[in-house]
Amino acid sequence: MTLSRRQLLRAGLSGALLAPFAGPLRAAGTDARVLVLGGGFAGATAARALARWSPRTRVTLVTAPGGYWTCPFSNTAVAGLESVDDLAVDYGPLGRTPGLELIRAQVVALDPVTRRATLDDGRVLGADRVVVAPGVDLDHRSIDGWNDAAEARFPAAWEAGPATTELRRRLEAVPDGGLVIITAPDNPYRCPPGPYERASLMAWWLQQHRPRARLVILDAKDSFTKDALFKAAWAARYPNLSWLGRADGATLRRVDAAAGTVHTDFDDYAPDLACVIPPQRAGSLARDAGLDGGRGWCPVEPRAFESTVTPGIHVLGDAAIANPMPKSAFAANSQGKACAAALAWLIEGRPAPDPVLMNTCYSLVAPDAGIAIAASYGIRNGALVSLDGTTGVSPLPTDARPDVETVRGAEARAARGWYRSIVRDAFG
Amino acid sequence: MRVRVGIASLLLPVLLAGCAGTADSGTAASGAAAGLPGRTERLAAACDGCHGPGGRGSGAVPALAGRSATLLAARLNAWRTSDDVHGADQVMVRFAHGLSADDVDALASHYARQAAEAPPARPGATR
Repeated sequence: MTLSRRQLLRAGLSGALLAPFAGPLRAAGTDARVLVLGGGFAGATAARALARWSPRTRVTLVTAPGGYWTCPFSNTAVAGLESVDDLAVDYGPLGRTPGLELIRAQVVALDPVTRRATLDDGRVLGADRVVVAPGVDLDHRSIDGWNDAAEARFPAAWEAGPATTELRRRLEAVPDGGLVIITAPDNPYRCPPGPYERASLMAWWLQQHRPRARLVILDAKDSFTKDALFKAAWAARYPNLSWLGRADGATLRRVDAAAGTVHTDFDDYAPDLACVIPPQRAGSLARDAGLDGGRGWCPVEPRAFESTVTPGIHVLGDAAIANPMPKSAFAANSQGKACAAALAWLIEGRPAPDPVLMNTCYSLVAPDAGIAIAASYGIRNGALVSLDGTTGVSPLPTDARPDVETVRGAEARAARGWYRSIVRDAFG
Repeated sequence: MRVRVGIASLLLPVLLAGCAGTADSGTAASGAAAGLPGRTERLAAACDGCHGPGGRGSGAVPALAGRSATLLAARLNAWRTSDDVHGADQVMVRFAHGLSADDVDALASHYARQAAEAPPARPGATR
C-alpha cells in the first residue's frame, strides 16, 4: 500500500505541508527500507523500536566502528566513582536484533534528496526513509586563540570515553590549593545540566582530596536548568565552588594554550585545569546534507521528527530543534520511539499518531544526592509544547518532605536505576 | 502512602483492557488491527525509558511487569490527582499529570499482563 497525499495531509506532517511532496513511502508490493545513521541513544532506539513495531521493514543502522561510551554518568567517572569502562556500550545485542542490520562504518556523505548514504567502505545505501541522528559537533569559532594545542590543554570531554579518562587524569593532577575552571556555553547545547553536575562531582572529589582547591564555573548565560537546586547544593556542600554568569562578565572570549590561560569579558584566569565546554551545533553529517538550513541545528516537525528542510529525512536527538525538549539521552530515546512509531504507521499507509514524548534529567550533586527535572510533551496548534502540569523539578531543601537528604538520596538511587534501564532500552 | 481503592477501580482495568489506544482520535482501531503500536504501547515504551525494557525495573526504579493492575492504577491515579511535588516521587507526579484516566487503566492492564521475569532478549522476537 502506498501513502497518498491525502493521507499525508491527514497525518499532519508539516514536512509534507511545507516542503515538496516526498512521494510514496515505499513502492507498491515491496517492503519498506529505513536507514538509520548514528547509533547513539536516538538512532539505536529508533532502529530497535522500528524493527519491533514494523517487522517487515528492512531496518539498517549504521554506526561508527570503534568504541562508544555513554555521556550519561560520564561525570561519575570524572570523579572516580565509576570506571570509564562501565560506560562502554556493547553493540552485540543490536547486531543480533531480528529485522535489524547493523553496519559498523563511517558515513562519509548523505544525499538527502535521493536518500542515499555513502559509507567509508565504498558502499552506497538507499532507503525509503532516512533517520539521521549524528549528535553534536563542538564549535570553537567564538573562542579566540582556539587551536589544536588548546584542544589538548582545555579538554571538554563532551564525548565520553578516552576523553573522560583524560579529564579524570587531569583532575587528579590538580595540586591542593589549585584552581579548576569549567566554562559552560550559552544555550542550546548537549545535556543542559551536564556542566553543573560535572562541577558538583569534581568539587566533591576536590573536597576529599584537594581540600584547599577552588572550582569556578564561568557561564555564558545568567540562568541554567535546575539552577536553584544546584546553587542550594553548592552552598550547603561546596564552599570552594563559585559560579559566575554572563552578567558577571564570565562569557569565555579567548584562550592562550601556550600560557594555559583563559579570558572572559572581565577577567583573566591561570587555572591548573580548565575544562572548556564550548558552543555546539548539529553533527557534520546533518549540516553537510543541508538539514540545518544554515542554522546549525535541524528543524523538524514534531510528530515523526521529519525534516522541514528535506522531506523523507528524519532528524533525532541532539541535532534536532525539538524545543522545549532538552538535548538529553532520555529525550533522544523518547524521540527515537516516537519516530519509529510514526514510521510504522506511515509504512502501513496510515496517518502517524500523536507522539508520546517524555524526558527526565537526573543530575548528581554528590555521589548520594540527586536532583531531577521531568516533563511530558505533546503537540498543540502544530507546535511541540510541555503538557500542562507535567513540568517540574525536585523540591528545594526547605520544601522537601520528609527532608532534603531523604529526597536527594532517593533521586540519586533513581538516577542509577534510570541509567541501567535506558542503556538496555536503547542498546538491548 | 495510603490509597483507597473502590470496587469501580477494581473493575475498570478489566473493562478497559481491550480498548487500548482509543485516544488515537479514531485511527487506533485500524492501527491495532494491523499490529501497529497504539497509544498504550507508545506510552509504555516511554515508561520503559526509566523502568527498563518490558517494565522489568532496574535497581531503585521498580519493576512494573506482572504487578497487579489494581495496584498500578491506584498508584498512578493517586499521583495524577496529587499536587504534592515535595517528595521523592515528584517525577511520577509530573508524568501522571500527562495521563488520562483511560491511559492509567490501559497502562495498568498492559504491565499486569507482562511477564515479570521475561527473558531479556530480543526485540522483534516478541511479536
